[in-house]
Amino acid sequence: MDTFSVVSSGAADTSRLAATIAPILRFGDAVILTGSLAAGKTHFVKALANALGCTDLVTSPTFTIANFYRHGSGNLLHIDVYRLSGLDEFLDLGLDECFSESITVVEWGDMVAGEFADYLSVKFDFLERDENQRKVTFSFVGERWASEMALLKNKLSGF
Amino acid sequence: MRNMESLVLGIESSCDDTAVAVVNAAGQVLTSVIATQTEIHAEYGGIYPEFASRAHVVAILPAIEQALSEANIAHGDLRAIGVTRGPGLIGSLLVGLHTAAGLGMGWGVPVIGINHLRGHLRSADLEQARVKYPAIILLVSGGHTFLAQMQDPGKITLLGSTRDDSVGEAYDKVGRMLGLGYPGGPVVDKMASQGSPTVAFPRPMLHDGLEFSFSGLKSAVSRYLAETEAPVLKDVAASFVEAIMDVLLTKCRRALLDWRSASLVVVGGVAASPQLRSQAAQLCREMDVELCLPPLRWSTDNAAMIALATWDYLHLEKYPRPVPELQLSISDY
Repeated sequence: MDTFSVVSSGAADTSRLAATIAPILRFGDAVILTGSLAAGKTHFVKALANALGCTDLVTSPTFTIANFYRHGSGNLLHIDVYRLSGLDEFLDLGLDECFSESITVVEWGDMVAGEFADYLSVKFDFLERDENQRKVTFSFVGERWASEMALLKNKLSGF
Repeated sequence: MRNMESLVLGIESSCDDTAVAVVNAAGQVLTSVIATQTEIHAEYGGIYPEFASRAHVVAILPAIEQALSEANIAHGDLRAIGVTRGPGLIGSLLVGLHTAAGLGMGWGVPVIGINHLRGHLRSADLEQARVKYPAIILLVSGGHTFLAQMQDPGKITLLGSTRDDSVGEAYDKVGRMLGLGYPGGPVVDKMASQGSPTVAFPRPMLHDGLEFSFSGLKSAVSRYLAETEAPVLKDVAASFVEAIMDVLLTKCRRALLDWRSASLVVVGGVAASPQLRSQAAQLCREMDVELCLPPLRWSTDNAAMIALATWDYLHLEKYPRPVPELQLSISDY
């Protein structure tokens, strides 16, 4: 149960995937996204924001590093650490002050995952047979997700 | 007080450069100081914000002293200090904002928090009034890609922006895929000029209003490079640039058809692209509007544009406080 994968047949499928996960997320949660250039990480966050009811336009945070989108009483905090060279730089940004009131999603997030006591990891891999398909692998760290993984896997059984 | 005319001190530290400038109400630039970090970044392949923010701390006070000295003025000549309050990186913004707030308090000069995007839009009128209004303006840079309509300098309507990646980001990521250095714009354009556009890359949202999307184009280049044995890189670059230009120019043409305009203005770092400059010139000849390309030094981040925008704020009596606002839109003051 620690890790499971589903196959997304394309962008629309990835959107459905994000919409399925969205209702489980609450403030204080962290989602770490990994996968190479153009794997669909930003697309996933756009769909997640949409499913959460954020009306702001979600764009790539590669240059801005962190984008805040209003969500209920808090934020969807969309971070991209692609251009950061180390954990120190991430910590110096002081974004951790916002984690408790945000759903935090981090692209290229491997480097900073250790900063979160609990997180859901979502990894996007290209598949050879179809340029639009992605293998999406879910894993987690911490108590928060230990109890949710069975539910999540069940909800994603249609993929 | 040495000068009879009043002046604005502009401070810009939203991303990698620390910039300070002194500009009068007519847009004349008495001085513009930019402490650039491009060389540091070239070693690491990107703009690294913590380098940026530390370097801002080191650079900002000497830059302000240099600006006042070069302009041969004292703080008593200042009508206001305008400082970028967003959008940008929080750490970098805070250096400029705190410095401006401290100096304003000490000198008894009002400090206004300026929207960086409004600075970019006004950059074309620095040194001389170049923009014929009403104008369509294309801002293309690393952080931003959008089209706006400007009825006059203070009245701005957003027409469309990117739904995912900026043009500059597309250039930088494709530059990295092609094994080129940072920043990606000039090197990709140069390689493209030596190749032929032999690959039919997609033009996302080409026929779809005035919004932009470049993520799919980036993906298509990535896929092509992964699937093709011995790809001809200069042709890939040429094909990528052709797709970018096709999208940008199609949207500009559509905006000019939708809005009666006297000019098309192109600003932002990507305005340095020779391909964009020549194709925009051709479009403007066809559409019989004036093309306004500000000198390249005003197309990248600078403080003179922030100072000029500050004059708009003063005229409109808008005084946002100098506190960071990371998510400003072009319609915000």
